[in-house]
Formats: sequence, structure tokens, C-alpha cells
Amino acid sequence: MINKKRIAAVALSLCMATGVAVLAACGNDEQPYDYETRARTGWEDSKQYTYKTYTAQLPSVWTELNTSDANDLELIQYINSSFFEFNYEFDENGEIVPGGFTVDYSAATKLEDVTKDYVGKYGLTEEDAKEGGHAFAITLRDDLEWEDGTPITAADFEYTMQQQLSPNYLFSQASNYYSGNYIIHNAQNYVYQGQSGWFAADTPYTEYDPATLDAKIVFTMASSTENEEKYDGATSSIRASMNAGDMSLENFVAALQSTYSFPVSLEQVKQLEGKTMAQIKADSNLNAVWSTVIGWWQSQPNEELDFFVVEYTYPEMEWDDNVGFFADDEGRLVIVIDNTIHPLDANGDLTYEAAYYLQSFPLVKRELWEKLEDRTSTPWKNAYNTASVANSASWGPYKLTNFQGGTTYTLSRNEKWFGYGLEQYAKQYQTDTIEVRYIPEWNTAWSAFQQGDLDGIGLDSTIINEYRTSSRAYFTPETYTYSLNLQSNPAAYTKGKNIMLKYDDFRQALSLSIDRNDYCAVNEPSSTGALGYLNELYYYDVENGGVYRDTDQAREALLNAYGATNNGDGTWTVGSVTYDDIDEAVNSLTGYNITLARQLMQKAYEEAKAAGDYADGDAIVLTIGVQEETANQERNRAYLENAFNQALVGTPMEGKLKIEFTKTTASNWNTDFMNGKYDICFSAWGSAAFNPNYLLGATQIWDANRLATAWDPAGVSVTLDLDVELDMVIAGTDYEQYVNEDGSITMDLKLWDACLQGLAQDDGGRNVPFNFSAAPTEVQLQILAAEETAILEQYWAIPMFSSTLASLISYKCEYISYEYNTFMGFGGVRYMSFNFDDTEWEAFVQADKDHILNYTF
Amino acid sequence: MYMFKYVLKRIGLMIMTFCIIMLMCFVLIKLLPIPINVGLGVDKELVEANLRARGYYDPIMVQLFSYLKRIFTEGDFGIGVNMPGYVNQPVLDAFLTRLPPTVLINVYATIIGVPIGLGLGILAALKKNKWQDHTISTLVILLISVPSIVYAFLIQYIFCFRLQWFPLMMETGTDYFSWEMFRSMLPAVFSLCLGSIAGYARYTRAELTEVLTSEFMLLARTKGLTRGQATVRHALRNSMVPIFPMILSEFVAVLSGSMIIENIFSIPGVGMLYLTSIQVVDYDFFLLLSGFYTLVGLLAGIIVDISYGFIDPRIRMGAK
Repeated sequence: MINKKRIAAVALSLCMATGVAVLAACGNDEQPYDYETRARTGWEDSKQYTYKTYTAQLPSVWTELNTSDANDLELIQYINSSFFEFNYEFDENGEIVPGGFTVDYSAATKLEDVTKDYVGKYGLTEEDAKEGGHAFAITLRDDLEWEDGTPITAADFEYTMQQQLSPNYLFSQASNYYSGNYIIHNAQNYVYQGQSGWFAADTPYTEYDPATLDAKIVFTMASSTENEEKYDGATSSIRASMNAGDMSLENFVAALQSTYSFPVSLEQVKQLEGKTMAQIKADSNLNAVWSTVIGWWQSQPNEELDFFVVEYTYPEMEWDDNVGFFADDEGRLVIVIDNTIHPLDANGDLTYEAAYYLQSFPLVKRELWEKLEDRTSTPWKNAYNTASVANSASWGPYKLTNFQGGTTYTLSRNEKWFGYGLEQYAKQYQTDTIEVRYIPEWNTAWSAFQQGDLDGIGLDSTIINEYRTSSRAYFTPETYTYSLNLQSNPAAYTKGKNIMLKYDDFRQALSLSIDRNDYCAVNEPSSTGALGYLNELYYYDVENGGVYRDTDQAREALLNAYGATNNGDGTWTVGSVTYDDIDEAVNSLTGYNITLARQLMQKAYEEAKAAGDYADGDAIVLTIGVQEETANQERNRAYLENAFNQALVGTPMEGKLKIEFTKTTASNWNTDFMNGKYDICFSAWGSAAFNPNYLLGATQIWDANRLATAWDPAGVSVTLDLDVELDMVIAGTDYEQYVNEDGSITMDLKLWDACLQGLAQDDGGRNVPFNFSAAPTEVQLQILAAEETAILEQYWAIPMFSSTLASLISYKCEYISYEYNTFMGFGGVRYMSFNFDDTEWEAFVQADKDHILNYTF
Repeated sequence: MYMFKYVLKRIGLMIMTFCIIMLMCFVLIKLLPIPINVGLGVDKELVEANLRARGYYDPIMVQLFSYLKRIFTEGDFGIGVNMPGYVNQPVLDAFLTRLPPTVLINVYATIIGVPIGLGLGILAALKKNKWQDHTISTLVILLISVPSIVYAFLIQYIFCFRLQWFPLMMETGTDYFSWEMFRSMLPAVFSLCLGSIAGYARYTRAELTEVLTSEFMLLARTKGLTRGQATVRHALRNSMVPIFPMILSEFVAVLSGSMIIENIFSIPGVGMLYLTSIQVVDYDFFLLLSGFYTLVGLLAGIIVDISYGFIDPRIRMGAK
């Protein structure tokens, strides 16, 4: 009986194992497929071509007014049109010029600088008129229409912008038009109109006028939670300036005292809490405390406001004649902005800024929008371009013809699109239908791709090495650079755990212990190691193809930050090797210098021991925040732990470092980190490829986006000897204090950033003494590189890798080029061609003996 | 009458329990920090103003009142704020759209799993210690030991990818009762019910084996009933007393959907929604789903209890 039982079990197991093995062994074809690569035939082709792709997340809202993420934008790009658009630059033989681009008119036929026409209106002055670049008129094509044939005019764009900025909707995307690359005149005031409540005092008021404000403004340094009942959660801007998050008043004051020598006790601050400025001034004791506080803080006029909140109501505002966005009498769309952009060159031709800044504006189909408007809720709701085909409207090359939440959507050719029939789109848009399937599990998508049901797929790290040499593989570099962030919050430091992070040498040693190339090979096989915050996709001079990372300034920034030595004769020494030129030296950098790392660790040990922060035998335990402990996370953790411990070899801390996981969530990972819940996190910043000055400042210097909360860029001085005339000073500012005797300029990082970006005030609200946004390119590069060096040398955010996506495209279709172009990508659906129509493709897949296509060739 | 009173009492208790659980859920989720993730160039104050207008910063009890008022006066369960794929969309619509696939797949899994599981269990019990019993027991151990995610991947790889008997994913569209749709659901159904089949078979075998050796079974045979008659009329009915509630509770358990199975077969069900609503702190989604699952769980408890009385008339709940 026992034998029978065993036999049955063994037989069953063997059957299953054999079955799986046989199925797994079913071989793919061993030879490359024989098929013809066909030329593009474009929208004129009468056959049916369907491009099938997938997404791990379906779009929610496919209108620019309220788009929530990249999945929304993916759909929006097909149902919208552009006024001006990037295109490949083709040579006389019709070949693509590598890296080249042109800017073409599309839905617009003319762009004019009309600044002088509006002097005296919308805040424009004669000075602005001379300068130009403040007001533009866009003439639209006269054949623009919706998918149902309803004509589109400039007035529709004006109506849509009114909705975008409507105070009834309070769309977060409204801020694109007042805090983005350009500021539409009065856009912010329009959207804020009627907003009543408590605000940081410097939000509605830019100038401190004691006579009118003393009785209104109320002192507070407490958190939003603590102020919830008294001031609707409003906080004074001192908290934002110091990136305090929702830290309690006690902790905030303690942090200021320990890090910034705040000269006032908690009790004294509490005495000021809730008092108006008038009350403070009337009480000699309170006034003395206040004088101490403001004396500690103030370096610019009006900074008194940084400690106060105020109850304020934004005044009502009419749209007409106030907001700089309207249809003029000639049917043109006019935009008036407070800053300047330059979408036209001296010859009146389009520059890259036309396609970058003015590519399009939001547009809704008025009739449908009003039908779907729900005014019963606060704020108003609108189901336009959400959830169903019936709620959608298109004026782009494709229209939505099927949408099933959680499953799929389909786009079909929009026959009403103005581009079909135009010569400039000949041999383009061959794709008739785009089917997007929701597939959250990559393995399922991979199977579907091999069965011919998908035409493209991103490669997973498990198979990338097998397929990276496939003829169907292509690689998409991304602007995103991932950094390893280290905890800076002193309140989070614990002796015997993470307190060593406060030592600069320790952090630098951690950075030098990681070979970025090796790290990528092990952990991020399709990505490339990064040493700086801005990768090869950042242009400082778009028109002439100037890439920041290729400049000498940027190269020197990396060499300086990673311990290379400039020998003064054009040679550089990296580690023990001397290189004849800067190119070789930079190329040799991997970020890894274990000898220097160990020296720095020893220094950090001695310093910490002397300060009582480390005792022999203490462990160093760093926590890394993860949402779930996957195999990839464990590999990453183990890699970092090993690398960091290598840097400790030979020091008394050898073998003492451990990295442990801590749970965080997708929505709170950053606030958890900033609040000191864990010590290490990866984060990435990217986009704004044509504005490296902005990206570096906004992500690494501005308080709002910086993860190193306790590091103050205003405390880092940088001296530069700029080859620039000092006529770039801002009138009325005390710029002399920043100019040294030798003519060099010394400012802190926040001021340098604001000067480089041409901002009126820095991130701390201080008036900016210079405007270097129009300085010669070399000067701007010098400042940008100096900023990058200074930030790198803090070692709070250590660049690790730049993301590159590896993908496969099916045999069915072809991109126009597999060389990535910053402006055009791979040409997208616009330039896609097909080797098979739908019927032929089905036959091709069926012809494979397993009906499973092999993509290893 | 006893039963009627008992049911009324249970319903009353259920409503009270439901209210307490929902109150706790509401308060706890609202105590979490409001997640505000703004990208570059986005005005954080404007985002906060929007949330403030929606009442996110009101005292929790005020929010609770508004929430209940919205539900009872307008049937408005709120809109998604952070839920991927459902931002700015009514949460009730999203939920109702995604419920049918989950329910269908679990109904099919129960319909297929119960007879097979019971059948195997009965066969094993009747053939106790014979090769059929050993084979079934081995199979049961194998199926119980392996997690359903492994079945799912194996089924997908072998039957959907290699043999191509079934589609890799659930069909698109809402024609849930077409043959193509049913066929496309089968891989997920099998993945879900294999474990249940093993559970039913094991439990049925154990219960039936015990009943078959009872003295009343001997009496039934001596009264002249055939083995089959005695088994069907007496043994099976008695063994069903603990098995039937198990089937119900299993059905309820799988009604919540399987995040993994739904992911693998791209089923637009509710399995993912609940977990995601917690991860992204989407209040309205979280509360609606919490309410749904709480209600289903409580109702299932009542139904299971009442079902005892129908299976075995000797059992009378509430009788003194």
C-alpha cells in the first residue's frame, strides 16, 4: 500500500515536471525572420494598420486643465494639436541630421511679437516695449475643427483659459500659467480671487508697511496642524524657508537653535505667538524679543513679514482687460506675460522656444464642457475628457473611440484633423488605430508581445542582457538622474545608529565608495552611471546644440567634486593616474576612489569620537525606505552595505555598518524622509531639458523640493570671478556688498541661483542683486557649474545613475530612426511605418511554428 | 419566531458593528497627514486651497457629517484624488464598474470548485485508504502547499502562452456573459479555485469519513438502505453542516478579489483598488471599499449562521 502511495505521488510529480519541461523546451525558431522593411506610406495608405501597446496605468483625465500624470499626457498628445512643433532636420538627401531639429508651424500660421501694441495695458510699459518678448499674437489656421466638425476659434482658447484659471475649479494645473516658464499677466490673481482666509503675510503683501499692516499681521512660527483652528492651517513663511514641514513648534525652535543659532528660547517664541505686530511693539518685553528675532533673520527689507500670517481676501477680478490671454479683434490669440520669452529670432523665424513654451494651450469643446459641468459641489467638478468616449472631444490626429476603465482605450484616425492632406504631413501618420491595453503585470505583457499582441515593450532587468543586442532593441535616455539622499535632519540622528551622517567626510566617503558603472551593471543594467545632477540631455544652448555636460565647466565641476586634482598645466590627476586632457580625466571618473574614501572615513571617525558622537564598537545602522522588500531592493541594499563597509576597512569602524529596511508609502516617502523616519532614499529629478539653470536650482537649492531639509544653501558661499560687466546689477539693490575688492563676486547658493535664473527674489524672499539670465553663455555656464560643484560637495544628494529605458519594437512596425533625438524622440506614431498591415501581421505570427515570436535576433 | 427574532437581533448588531467600524476607519484615515505631492512649478497653496474647499482641513467630525450628508442626500461617495486611473472620477462609478469581473470570476470559481472539491472529497472518503484516496490526498497536499500565484503563472505560461488554449488576459468589453469572455476568464478562475478545490476535498473527506463510521450509518444500512442511499441521504447531509459554511466563507473571502490574480490576468476587478487606496491615501476610495468589505463580511456571518438551520433542521438559532 505504501509503495502504491509513493508510486502515485512520484508518478504525478514526474508527469507535471515532464509536462512543464517539455513545454519549456519548445524551441523558438533558430533563424532570423525573413521579412521586408517597408518605406513609410503615411496616412494615404488604404490598408489597416494598428499599433498595439500597453500601459501599467490607464489615464484619468485627458485634458490639460486637470491632467494628473504622464498617462494622461500619453493620451492627450494624440487628441490635441500644436501651434508650433519640433520636427527632424532633414538634409538634401532626406536623411535625418543627427541631433538637429526645426520648429514648424502646425495649427498656427503666424506668430508676432505685439508687445508694443499693448503698452499701458496689462502692466506693460514703454521699457517693456523696447525689450519685447512680453506679448505675442498667434494666428490660428482657419480650418481647425473638432472631431464632429465644430469650428475652433481663438475665442475657444480664451474661454478654456478662463476655465483653467477659474476660482470655482481651483485646478492645480492653473499654476502652470503663473509659476512655470512664463507668467500670464494676472493669472494668479484671477485664480486666487475671492480666496479668503489666512495666508503667510508675504503672500498677499510684498512690502511691509507698518502703518497699514501692524494691526493685521499675527506672529506665528507654529506648524500647519497647530494653526489649524486659529489660522486655517496657515503658517508663516519662515517655516517654508527653513523647510520645516509639519514639525511641531517645539521641534522647529530646537532645530533652529541647534543648526542656525536661533537666539530666542521656546518660551519667548510662545510669548510672541498669536500677537499682532502692534501688540508686540506696544509691549517692551515682547518688542525686545522680536528685535532679537528679526535681528537674527533679516538681511533684506520686508523680511519682517516672514514671521507673520494675515487674514486676507483676494479681490474679485474681471477677466476682460485684466488677464493677459484673449482673442483680439482680428481673431488672433494674444498672450501677455510678465516675464520675457523669445520664440522669434531677429528674422522673425520660430526659435525652439515657440515649440517649447507656446506649443499649445488648453482647449475644451465649450458645449460639452458646459454640459458636464457640476456646479453643485465645491470646488466645481467636470467630467470632461474622463471615463468615456461620450465625455471626450478631439482636435488632434486621433480621436478616442473606445474607453473602458481599468481595461483599455482605443484611438482612431480623426478624419477632421487639419493635417491630413497637408504636404508637411505627407508620408506620416500611417497608423490608423492605436490600441492601448491595461496590463499591470510585466510578465503578461511580455508574453503578449511575443505572441504578437503588442508592438512594443520595455525590457525588464531579468531579460535585458539576453535581448539588448536584438535588432529590435532600442534605448531611450531620460533626463532623470537618480540620487542617493542622505538624512540631514539633526532631530533624526541617534548615536550608535545614524549620527555619522552629520559628518561631511563620512558622507563624502560613502559617495566615493560606489563605482557608478559597477552599480548600474548590478542594479540598473539599462541605465548609465551619473556623477552630476544634469545628464547629457541638458542643453544650455538649444539653438546651437550646446550640451551642458560636454562643456569644460561641467567637466571641471565633476572633477573637482570627485577629488581629482587640477595640475595647472592642463593635466588632471584622478586617483594615482594623471591624464593629459580634461576629456580623458572625466571619462576615467566612476565616482569610486576607495583610498580617499578610507582616509575620509578615518577623519570622520576621529572627529566623531572627539565630539562624543562615536565610541569604539558602536554600530552604524542606516535605514533605507522601501514600499516593499523585493529581491531588487534587497540586492540594492546589500550592494550599498557592502560598498560602504569597504570604505570602512582599516578604520576602527570596520564591519560596523549595516543597512536595514524601513517601510514607507508611495504617497509619503518624501515627507517620511524629510521628517527623519529613515536615512537613505533614492529620488530622481528630470524634465526641463532646455533649462538646466532652472532644474538644478529648483530641485537642489529651493527649499520646496530639496530633501536635505536641514542643509541651508543660503549658508554656502561661492566666489566667482566672472568675466562680466557689472551693468547686470538690479537697480536699487545693495549689490556692492557682494563684490570683492578684486572684482570677484561672493554670494550664497540661493542668491547665485536666483541671479542665474533672472528672478527678482531668491528662494528665501531676498531681493536679488544681479540678473545673469542674459549674461554671456560662458558666464552662465561658469555659474551653473559652480552651483553644481557646491551642491555635490555637500554630499546630501549623491548622483547615482541616469535612467535609460531599454525596449523592443515588434517586427510589425518601425520608428523612423533608432538614434534618440531630444526633440523628436524616435519620431513616435507620427513617423512610424509598418512592415505588415494587420492581416499580414496575423499571418506572420501564425506562420511561426509556435506562434511565439523570437526577438533575440 | 425564534429564528425571526434572532435574525432581527443579528441585523441590529450588524448595523451597530458596521457603524463602529466605519467610524474607526473614517477617523483613522483622516488622522493620517494629507498627502500633497506637487511637481515642479505647481503652486502648493493652490493645491491646498482646492483641498480646503473640499473640506479636507475641517475638523474630523465636521468632515464626517459632510461625508454622510453627501451620501444620504446626493448619493455622492466622493471623487478620487490620488487613485491612479481614477483621479477626479466618482469613486462609486469606478467601484461599480470594477465589481462585476471580480464577482463573476469568484462565482465561476465557486461553481467549478465546489462540485469538484466535494466530488473528490466524497470519492476519497468512500475509497478510503485505496489508491484513489492516496492519489487524491497527494493531489490535495500538492495544491494546498503551492500558493495560487504559482498556479496562476503556470496556468498562464502553459495553457495561455505555450498551448494558447486561452487568451493571456481577460477580454476587453463589458459583455460578461459571452463565450469569449467566459473563456478568457477561465485561467483566472482555475488559478483561484485550485486551492479551494483542495480545501473542499480535504474537509469533505475528513467529515464524510467520520460520518460514515457513525453508528447511525450502521443503523441506516441495517434498515435496508443501500450504501449509496445511506451515503447520500444521511452521511452527506450530516457532513455538510460544517462544510457549507466553509463554502460561503470561502466565497466571501474571494469576493474581495485577488490582487495578484487580477494583476496577472489583467482583470479590471476591485482587488487592487483597496490596497492602492491605502497606499495613496485616497480617502473616498478607502471609505467606500472599507464599507463594502465590512458589510460583506458581516452579512456573510449572518448568512452562515442562518444556513445552519436550513442544512440541519435540528439546529435552531435563538431557541431557548
